[in-house]
Amino acid sequence: MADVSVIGSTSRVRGRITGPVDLEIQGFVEGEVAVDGDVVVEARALVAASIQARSIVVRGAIRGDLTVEEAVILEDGARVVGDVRAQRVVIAPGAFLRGHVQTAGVDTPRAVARGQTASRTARAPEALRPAMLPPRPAATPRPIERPAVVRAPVAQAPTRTLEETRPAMKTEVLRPSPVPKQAPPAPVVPALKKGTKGTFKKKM
Amino acid sequence: MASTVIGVGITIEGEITTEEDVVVHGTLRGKLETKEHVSVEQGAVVEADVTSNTLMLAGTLTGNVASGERVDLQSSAKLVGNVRTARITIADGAQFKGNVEMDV
Repeated sequence: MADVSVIGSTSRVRGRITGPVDLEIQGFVEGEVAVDGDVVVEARALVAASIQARSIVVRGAIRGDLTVEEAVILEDGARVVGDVRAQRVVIAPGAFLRGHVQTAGVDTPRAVARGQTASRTARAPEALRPAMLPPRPAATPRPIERPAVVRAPVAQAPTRTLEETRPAMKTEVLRPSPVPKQAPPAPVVPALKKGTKGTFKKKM
Repeated sequence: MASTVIGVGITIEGEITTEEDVVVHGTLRGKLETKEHVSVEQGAVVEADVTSNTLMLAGTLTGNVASGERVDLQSSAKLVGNVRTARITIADGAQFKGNVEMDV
């Protein structure tokens, strides 16, 4: 009993929680949580803290990054805004996630092509129901941003050699943006490219 | 009623504010405020100002205590700090250094 620490439902903790123990959060925690055990964030809990743990089960709300050795399980009702790093990430139907996700098997997302990262992250929780896939797009904005950086030089290189292909390149660039239904990240990518191209034109 | 438990081995550095019982087996530094009961168990280390209705101390506490109703120092208790409360008991063997202010 003494091994499990509980932050009760009316409790507010502001600061740092550390130790080689399990932790159950029912109340409000702000700051930093770094335990070498299992963390459970209960349904009514509000956590504004980065969490490091062996595993995390979330049914409540977290604003902060989750760095976990084994598994992150976002259950129904979970609301997480932050990056998730773990060997295994489980997102159940009804869970909400906004942030970057990295599971085992994709150590260098920048080196891997766009499609491969997407397929691998999708494969990781293969055993899970397909219903878990919908939250995944919400988790991918950042992976999209990284390939976007790779895409930009690719688009710029031909523009220097073949000016005629520019319109074609633009349409290619614009294509992926309407395809994913993520409004916020898509406009950012073309906007950046237009700006960079403009500067290149002037210089040349 | 669910309560807040700071288990063995855990360290909290910061502030705890709650309206329920708090049981400390581990380490707490900072501030502890509750409207209910606080028990600092044997082996626990609290370096904090504690505000509560009642306090049971069996571990080590460094800091000022303000308890509305009562403070009980067990024989294993070690307290360094001032106590302000309505009633206080100090068991034989308890170590205590500080002022006591009993509200009349």
